[in-house]
Amino acid sequence: MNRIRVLMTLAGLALAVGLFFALRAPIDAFQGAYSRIMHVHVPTAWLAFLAFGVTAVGSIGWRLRKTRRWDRLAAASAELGVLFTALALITGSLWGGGVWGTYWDWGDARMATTALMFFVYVGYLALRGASPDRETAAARSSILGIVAVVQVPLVYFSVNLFRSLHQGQSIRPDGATMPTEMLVAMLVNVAAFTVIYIALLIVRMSVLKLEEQTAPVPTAAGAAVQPPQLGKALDD
Amino acid sequence: MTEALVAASYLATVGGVGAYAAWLYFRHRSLRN
Repeated sequence: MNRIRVLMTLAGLALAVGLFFALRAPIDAFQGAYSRIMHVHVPTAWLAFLAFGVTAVGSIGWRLRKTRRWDRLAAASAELGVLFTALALITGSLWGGGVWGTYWDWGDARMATTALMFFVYVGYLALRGASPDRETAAARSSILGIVAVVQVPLVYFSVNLFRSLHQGQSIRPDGATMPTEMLVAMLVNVAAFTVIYIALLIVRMSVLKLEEQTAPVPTAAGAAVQPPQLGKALDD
Repeated sequence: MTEALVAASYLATVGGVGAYAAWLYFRHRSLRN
């Protein structure tokens, strides 16, 4: 079994273990079965933060070393971050629809800042795709990768900075605001989704490396146009 | 309604991660060949 299959199997097993704990966890007395959504919402939101943090690390690494590996790390992690942010927004919206009675509220700081973070990193991926060559893409996107990470603490602490619909942190330094059984299920899922993230990150970096090796280096528009060679014989 | 929303959130998560993982796997395989 090759390395890619091992990583994919590991990710699949982690997902299965996480779902097993999530579906066996006790439900909240107030929220009812909606509390089960938290076991996928919290891990996906955590991975969004982790992925964009790793993108910033990769971006800093590229600016210091200028090696392809750092750029691939930043690009792969940003793509995964966009995926997990989208999942956090979807699952959070579904939970809100059931518990709050509304699927979306732009007046809520956590929702608005998370949506902003999602669109900024979609822009990061678009910037990479729009740049004429790999080094230019790395140079431009590394700046955005470093600057945009300020959104991570902004999103995380938005529930403390602005009192609105979204509840405060459930896991705090002075303890968790949930029973141990629910906390264990949530932490198992956080660990399982982190394993999935690491496995997919390694595979994505490998795919990016293969793409660089197989695809020709993109050139600027018009570079293929040759100037006319005046004075040269037509039948030459 | 409750079951539908919980099921939708799990389907979105498993489907999203599964679709991305499948795309990665086949993309890797096609580039290797």
